[in-house]
Amino acid sequence: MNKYFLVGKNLVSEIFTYRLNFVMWRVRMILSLLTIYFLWSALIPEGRELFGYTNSSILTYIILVHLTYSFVVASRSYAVGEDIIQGNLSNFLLKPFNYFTYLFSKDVGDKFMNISLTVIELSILFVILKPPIFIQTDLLLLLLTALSILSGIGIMFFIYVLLGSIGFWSQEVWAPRFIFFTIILNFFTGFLFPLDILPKPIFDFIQFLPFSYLLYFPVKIYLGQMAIDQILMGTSISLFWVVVFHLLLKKVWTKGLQIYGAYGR
Amino acid sequence: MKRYVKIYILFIRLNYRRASLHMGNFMTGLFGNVAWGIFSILAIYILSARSTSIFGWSREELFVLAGTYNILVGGSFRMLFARNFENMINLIRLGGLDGVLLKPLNSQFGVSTGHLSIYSMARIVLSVIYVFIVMSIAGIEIGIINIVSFLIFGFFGLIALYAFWFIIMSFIIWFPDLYNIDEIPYSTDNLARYPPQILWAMKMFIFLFAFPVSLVVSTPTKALIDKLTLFDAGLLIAVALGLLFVSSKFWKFSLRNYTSASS
Amino acid sequence: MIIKVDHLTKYYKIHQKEPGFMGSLRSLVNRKYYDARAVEDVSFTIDEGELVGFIGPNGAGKTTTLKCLSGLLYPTSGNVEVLGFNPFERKHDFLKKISLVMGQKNQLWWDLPAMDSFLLNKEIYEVSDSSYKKTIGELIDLLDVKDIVNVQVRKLSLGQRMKCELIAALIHEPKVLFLDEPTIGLDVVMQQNLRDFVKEYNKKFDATIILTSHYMRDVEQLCKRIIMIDHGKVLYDGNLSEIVKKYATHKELRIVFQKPIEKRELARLGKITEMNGTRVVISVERTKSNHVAAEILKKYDIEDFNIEEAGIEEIIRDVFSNKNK
Repeated sequence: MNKYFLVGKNLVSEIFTYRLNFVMWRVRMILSLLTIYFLWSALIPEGRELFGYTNSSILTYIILVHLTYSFVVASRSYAVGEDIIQGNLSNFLLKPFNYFTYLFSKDVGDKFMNISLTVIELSILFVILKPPIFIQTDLLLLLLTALSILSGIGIMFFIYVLLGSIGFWSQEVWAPRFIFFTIILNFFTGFLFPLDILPKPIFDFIQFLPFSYLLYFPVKIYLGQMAIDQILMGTSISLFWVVVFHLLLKKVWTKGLQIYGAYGR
Repeated sequence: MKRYVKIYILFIRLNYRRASLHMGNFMTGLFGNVAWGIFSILAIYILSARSTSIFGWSREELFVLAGTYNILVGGSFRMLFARNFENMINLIRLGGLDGVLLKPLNSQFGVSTGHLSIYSMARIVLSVIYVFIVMSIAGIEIGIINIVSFLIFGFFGLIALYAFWFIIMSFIIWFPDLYNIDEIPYSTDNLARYPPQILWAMKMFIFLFAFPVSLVVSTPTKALIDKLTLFDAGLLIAVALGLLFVSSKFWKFSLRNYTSASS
Repeated sequence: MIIKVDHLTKYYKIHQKEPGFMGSLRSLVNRKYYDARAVEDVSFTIDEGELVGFIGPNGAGKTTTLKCLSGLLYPTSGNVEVLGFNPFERKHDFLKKISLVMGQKNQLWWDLPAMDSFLLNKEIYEVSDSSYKKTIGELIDLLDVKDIVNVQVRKLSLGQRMKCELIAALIHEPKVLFLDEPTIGLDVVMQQNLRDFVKEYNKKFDATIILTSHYMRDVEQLCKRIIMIDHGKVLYDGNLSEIVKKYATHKELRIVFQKPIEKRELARLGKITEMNGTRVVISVERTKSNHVAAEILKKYDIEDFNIEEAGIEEIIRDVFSNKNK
């Protein structure tokens, strides 16, 4: 256990070494938050209601999604593809080391840094913009939120590693990643807009996909805007995807490692 | 000048050949690029579903703006420049800049041209078709003057965006560790897809540096829908030429600080 | 005189990083520098058609000097003149007459055949069609790469790629050529190929060439004149043969006897550095070498006999370590 803790710690010191690069990344995140924030405050001015959202409820949603993003989406595991293609994976396979635990430890370090900075940034924004704050006090809902976030972290981790595993078969790992990051992340997770503003049939369909459980679902539970049966249903689907991805990953890696070495050095 | 045109034509030929050698790459690039364009337009439809106007732009005008964004930034800029700017980071960090500096060629031209994303052409074509359809459905009339002035101001918009990127990327010479400096211009030029007023709404002076970007698409779009004022026109031209001048000066100044990557 | 270097000094300003997050913010505004001395008070001149070897350990200032000569770096003080130009102005007329090849950097388009990159350089350097055709034909012949230039660069071996890099750098027939570690990472055969080419090119095009290398073989075979440089200063500038005379205190006698000889018997003649059956190498003081040779020839039955200078590599190493003391 200890060595994995060290891996996470090393990642944090790495971030401190390349702090300016991390600042760049955070600037990008803040810019994206502010753009969405002001877009929505223009779409739903105070005193108006749209898609069942008021000015304050949509802004609360946007800010919470931003915070959840640093829990769920922040990750380093996309580097799997490069590790495979460049042959660095061999270094890990030859060590008494679980590669996935290693990756996840790095993710934890990365998430830690992102969460810390997001909290600081949001505190500053609260002083400047004075957005509405919503604090959930129902302990059960808080627990369910935590569970949904954990499940979301799992889904995200598996997606990253699976996308990277394409590297076993093809050198082109960037294209699927690009499509995932730009299209899926923006449109199917609730990052840009709450998914329930979509037409009902589309929304129903999206609920069966894994992506809405990354951001939209945890935030909605926290806001108390979901009935308990919806929460149970959602949590089951979310956990179902964790299991499916886990099994898929196992299969993919057994196959992938058999042909590993055909590429790379 | 003639030589630069000849070199640029050769660039186009070489990039075309490279693209056709990597058909798989080309197709994924094409697909991702076009899909992203479609979704970025869909986003405007979803977001504006129940509004008649946002930041003083009518819903139809926003649809046109989404299309022109895809023509100018998502299509043309990505096709002509984006790859070069990404490449500039490695060029400077790994010493490839030495090779460029030793060519009898303007070094700013040398680092910011040469790589073209041919597949972005598809996005331009589709976006042009889209804009025509949207405008005819919305009943906005397009005259030949609108088209010509769109092309002219689109050209200046691209110059402004190019210079904006170039100035930011030049900082790599001063801070070679900033290998992800392109996060900044990438996330700012996303702002161009929205009405420029969104920038004023942010009320944060630190984002004023993004001001030129807010004109890149909105001004040519105004020209297209016949809403261009003389002030808008003058402002974009002044900003574009001003930035281009600054970018060239700043590049030359930065080069004096360049010590070339150690061997 | 093609190249004139007069009291060239180059200091690098190194940005001093401050520890901690606040430190890095502070250093954004107020950057502190310290000087690293790369080259100090270097002077030399080079005539047209010379082939000069630049040798010295890593970080001695070889590459920095080359970069000053080619115009990439601005000298801290002193004067540099190449072909009558001040290199740092990087006038296009100047750049069209020089070329710098670095063994580890590449300018070829990775995904395309080298031929395409050659064409691009033809346009950039404004080479006329007729002289392009002639030059490229000659270069391809000299380097024997006819079959390779139409293959994607990524599919070439390191050596093949290096040959193509050289062609790309020579299409405009530079009057002055700077070669920085051109043979690095290549196998022995390929190294020899490149050496032969550089020699050939120097003769055929009457180009002035400055070459740096780690491999003494490169210098030994190619350069009559060497400039030794260490810690940014010139240690020696002159003929290679003279430095050998000056510093080589011993010669090596390589002998193959007809039948094995007792080691003890030979040991009194000199220091035995190698012994393998009838093959023996004896290191003998320079002044005594003729005398000892005569004695051996008289006394033993010899199959083969050679007197050689001590390895150049060792001599150079001696010079550097002596000067550093």
